[in-house]
This record gives sequence, structure tokens and C-alpha cells, in this order.
Amino acid sequence: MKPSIEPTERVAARGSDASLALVMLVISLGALWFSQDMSIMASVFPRTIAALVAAFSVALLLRSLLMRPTRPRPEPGSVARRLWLIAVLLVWSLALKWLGFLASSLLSAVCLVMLSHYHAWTPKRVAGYAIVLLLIIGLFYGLFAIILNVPLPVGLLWRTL
Amino acid sequence: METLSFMAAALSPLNLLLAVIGVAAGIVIGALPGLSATMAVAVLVPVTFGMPPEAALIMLGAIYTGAIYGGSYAAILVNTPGTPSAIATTFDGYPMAQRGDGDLAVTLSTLSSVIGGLVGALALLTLAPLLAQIALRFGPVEYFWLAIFGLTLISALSEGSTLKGFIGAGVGLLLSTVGVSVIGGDIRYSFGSQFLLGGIETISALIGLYCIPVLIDLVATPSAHLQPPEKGRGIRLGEGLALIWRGKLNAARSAVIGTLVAILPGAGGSIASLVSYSEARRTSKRSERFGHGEPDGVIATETANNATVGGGFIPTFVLGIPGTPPDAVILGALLVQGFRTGPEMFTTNASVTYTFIGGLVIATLLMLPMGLLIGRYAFKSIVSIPKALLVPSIAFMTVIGTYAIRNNPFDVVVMVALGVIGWVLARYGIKPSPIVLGLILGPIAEQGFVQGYLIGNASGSVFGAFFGRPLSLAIIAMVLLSVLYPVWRTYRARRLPKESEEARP
Repeated sequence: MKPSIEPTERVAARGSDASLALVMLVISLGALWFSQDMSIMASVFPRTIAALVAAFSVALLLRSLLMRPTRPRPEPGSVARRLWLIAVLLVWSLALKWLGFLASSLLSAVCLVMLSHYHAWTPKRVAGYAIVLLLIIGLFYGLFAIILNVPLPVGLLWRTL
Repeated sequence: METLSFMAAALSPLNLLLAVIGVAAGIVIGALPGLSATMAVAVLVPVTFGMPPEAALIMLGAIYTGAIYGGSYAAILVNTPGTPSAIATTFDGYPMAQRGDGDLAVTLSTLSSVIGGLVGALALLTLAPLLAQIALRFGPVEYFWLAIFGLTLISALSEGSTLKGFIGAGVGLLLSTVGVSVIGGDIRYSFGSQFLLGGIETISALIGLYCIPVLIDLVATPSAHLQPPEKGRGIRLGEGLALIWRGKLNAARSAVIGTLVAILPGAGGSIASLVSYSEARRTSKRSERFGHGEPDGVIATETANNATVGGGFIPTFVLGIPGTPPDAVILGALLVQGFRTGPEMFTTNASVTYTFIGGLVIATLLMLPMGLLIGRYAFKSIVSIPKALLVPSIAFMTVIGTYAIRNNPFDVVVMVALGVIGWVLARYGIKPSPIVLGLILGPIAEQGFVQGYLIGNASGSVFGAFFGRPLSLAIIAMVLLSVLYPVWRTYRARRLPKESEEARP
């Protein structure tokens, strides 16, 4: 086995580094601002860290302006599918309380299968995936809810119905 | 001789059975992101209450050691550390899996974990009282510097710019300050939300920052998640043993580092594996390959984190101060069983202690066949699962694992939000490791920093409190070395080609 190092393609990072530095500067200044109401013991650490982050952000900003920084080319791929995945995960996390664990997980799992599948659908494939998904959800539900006794949310919606 | 007979008592059929069950349960729990070694031990503590003390301790030790090892599976196969101790395993383990060497990475992780576990147990057996005294010399300021050392190491080691690594670590430290403050009890950065009062849960953040970016990139392309392995390679034990033999010094050094770091209460496996990874990279002839799937990286981190198991028991048994969080749970189990920690653990209660150490050795040895067997199928399964099933399966584990930590749906929202932020930051060059380690080490760093600040104020010199003790200065020197060494290496790498060009006739 011979490990090989693939040369990573790089792209200019002046704009992205500068915007990252500015965002971090805003966050650190915000952390300093919101620490005003804290006692000295509670604020000394976050203030010190926020000041350091601000200093590093200024250094990054200067570096992006004075030098020609580069960064590895981001992973290519479908932006729409990425955004849909983020949406599904966010809705899933917010729906847990209302739809309960099983209903929200089943719905989200179906959405995720459709998002990550790139080939043609056949009845055999649909049935196979459905069985495997149900088995996985059942297995984990059994492990957490029954063996480990974790009180998984049942869903406020079902209680009101 | 008496010690050996006590240790041999661990070979009773009941103890052996419990060790097998414990290791298997530990590996499975440790491999699932969200279920940490602490949780594995804590969940199964009540099971041990009705058992004889030796058997109870053996089972808990086996679960612990199995869980620490199990954390490497998720790190290697899905780039998500199953436990914080496996953070550094992702650096080289995942690139190995991506190029089709996941089976070899798992075998290396198994062999290294066994070596580390045995060295840690040996240290517990022979050097416990001596090493425990070292832990007592560490005051709050030393703990602060130790946390900073861990953060500078990961910032310098993680792929990309060191400056961005520092910013990432700072973000992690700031996130660790959300909620009720460690000292003073103020409510910080919760913005009126009662959910944020408890702070950001570390394991939820770890799952979000590592798992969600993997999922986001998995759905974006139809290409395979990992390179499928060549057929008929088996577990690649021969290759693994040859690599371990080649890296024997690395393994020995990492095991010693893991044991020594573990005796410092609170430091834990994440710092131990980072320090050994850094040392392995610094001393390696193939240092440029680290981060790109270098087997020595996996050997270093996995040896060190399993050495923390035995090492962490040293302060637990001798001083009653748990070295790592799972040790705290086991300490509780010891107290329930009616034992008092201290020197009597090695005198009055020697039979229990040495039988437990014997059990720990057996559990570590059991990891070899069990780990190789489970690892072989784990890699094959992950590679052969279609993406359309892998994505919902990983997502399902992240959601249920996060929820189970505090039974709080809000933690799942925070996990997803942090995951999305982590994905965006990674595209801008800030990797998840510094942020996660900042979150983990934040409370240790803050406690040490504020206590040091108060001590300095009371004694009239804050500077003296932070820079006046020899042990602090030694750690500061290591901090500086970890920051300056990559700078020097980059300078040297740039200079060498120029010099060779000039030397050419």
C-alpha cells in the first residue's frame, strides 16, 4: 500500500478570506458588546477570547488584502440538493416536538432517500429501500426507546387529536 | 505472586463473559455518533449494582475500553468521531477509507488500541502511586495552559491556514461560554432563550459539525462515498502488523503520552491523541503525508486514546480524582460498591483492584479478535450501502443520538444549525476540529484562567500567576513550539528547493 497525495486544486481566496474575517470581526465585537452586563468573573474569559478572535480576524483581513491567499477548490456538486438537504434536516429537527419521533423520522427519511438517489426508480428498488429503512428505524427505535429507555418524543399533534 | 493470583481471578468464566459483553457493547455504543464512552458506562452502571465488585468493575472497564476503540469506526468510515477521543483519527483514517484502505485503517486502529490499552493497564499496575503524584502538581493555571496547548496543537495541525485554525478555536471557546458561567453563575449569551441556559451540548456540536457537512456533500454528487476495496484482501492483518512494526517507536511514544496525559484529571483522550498525533507528525520522515491518509497518524491517535483508559484510572484509584469523565462514573460505581479510593485500593482492597486490572488486560486483548471481526464487516457494509440508504441512516443516527443526550429536541435544532454553519466555515477554510476542541476545552480553560486571574489579583501579580511557575513555563514552551514549528517547517520547505536550485551547477 503506497499512500499518494493528490495535488489539491486551489482557487483565489482574497474575497472569501476578507468576508470571513469581517464576519468573525462582527461576531467577536458582538461578544464583547454583550459581555458588558456580566460580572467581572463571568466576563473576563469571553472578553479575552473575543479580543483574540478580533485580533486574528484583523490579521486575516490584512493578509487577504496584502497577499494573494488561495484555498482548496470547494467540493463540486448540486447546490439545489444541498439546500434541500439542509431544509429537510431543519424541518425534521423542528418537527420532532410536534410530529413525534417516528412520524417525523419516517417522512424525513423518505425525503432524504429521494434527495440522495440519482438512478431510475424500479418497484423492486422502492420496496427494498422501504424495507431497509423501516428496519433501520425500528432497530434504532428499539435500541434507544426500549433498551436504553430514552423517552423519545411522541408528538404534541397526536396528543391534541 | 499474590498480585498475579489476584489478576488470574479475572479469568473466571463469569468475568470472561462480562468482559466479552462489555467490549462488544462498548464497541457498538462508541461507534455510534452521539453515544460517548461516558454514556456507555453511565447507562450500564445500574446493571452492575447486583454483581460482585470485581465483576462489576471488569464489565465497566470493558465497556469503557471498547467504547474508546469503537469511536474510531465512525471516524474512519464516515469522518465523524464516535467519541471526542477519536477526533484526530479522522485526520488520516478517513482519507485512508476514501482511497479504499478503510479495512487497513480499521485493522491498524484495532492493533494500536490493543497496544495502547495494554501499556495503560501496565502503568496502572506498576506506576500508579508515583504517577498520581505528578497529577497533584497541576494547578488551575497549568490546566489553563494545557487546554491552550491542545487548542494550539489542533489549530496548527488541522488542514489549511493556522490563522483560520486559531479563529476556529476562538469560535469554539466563545460557544463554550454560552449559558450559565462556570465561575460566577452569570447567564451569558443566551439572549433570553431558556434552551440556551444549559449551554451548547458538546457532543451535539461534535455530531453537527462533523456529520452534517458529510451529509451535505454526500447528496451533492452521485459518486461513491468511499472507494470500494479490492476483492479478497481479508482483514489485512499482515499489512497492519508490518505497519505497526515500522511505526513501533511511534506506537510506544503515543502509548506513553496517552498514559501521562490521562493522569491529569479532565485532560482526557482528545488532548492525548492530539499530542501524540503532533509528535508522530513532527518526528516522521513522511510528515508531509499526514492528513492525507498516513497510517502512522492512525497508529498515534488510536494508541494514545486507548492508553488513557488505564492511565485515567491512576488518579481515580490513588487520589479519588477521576482522570476522565467515564472514570468519574466508574468512581461512583466504586463508591456504591462500598469502596474508598486511596492507597488502600492497592493494600486492603488489593484483590479487587488487581482482579480489575487483570480484567482490563483481558478486555483489551479481547478487542483484537472482536475488533478485527466487527471492523471487517463494518467497512464492507459502509462501502456497499447505496448512498440513498446511507444518507438517511447517518442522518437518523445523528438526530436520535443528539436527542438522546439530554432528551431535548432543541439540541437537535442546535446540532443541525451548527452543522450548516460548520459546512459554510469549512468551505471558507475553518475546519470543524478546532471549533469542537474549543468547545470541549472551553470550560477547563475558563476555570483555570479565572482561578489564575483571581489568584494573581490576590497575590498582587496576575503575570506572575500565569508565567511564574516552572510547570506553566514548560507547557508555554510547548505551546510556542506547536505554534512556531509549522511556521518553521513551511519556511524550510520553501527554502530547500531554492537552495537545491542554487547548488545545481
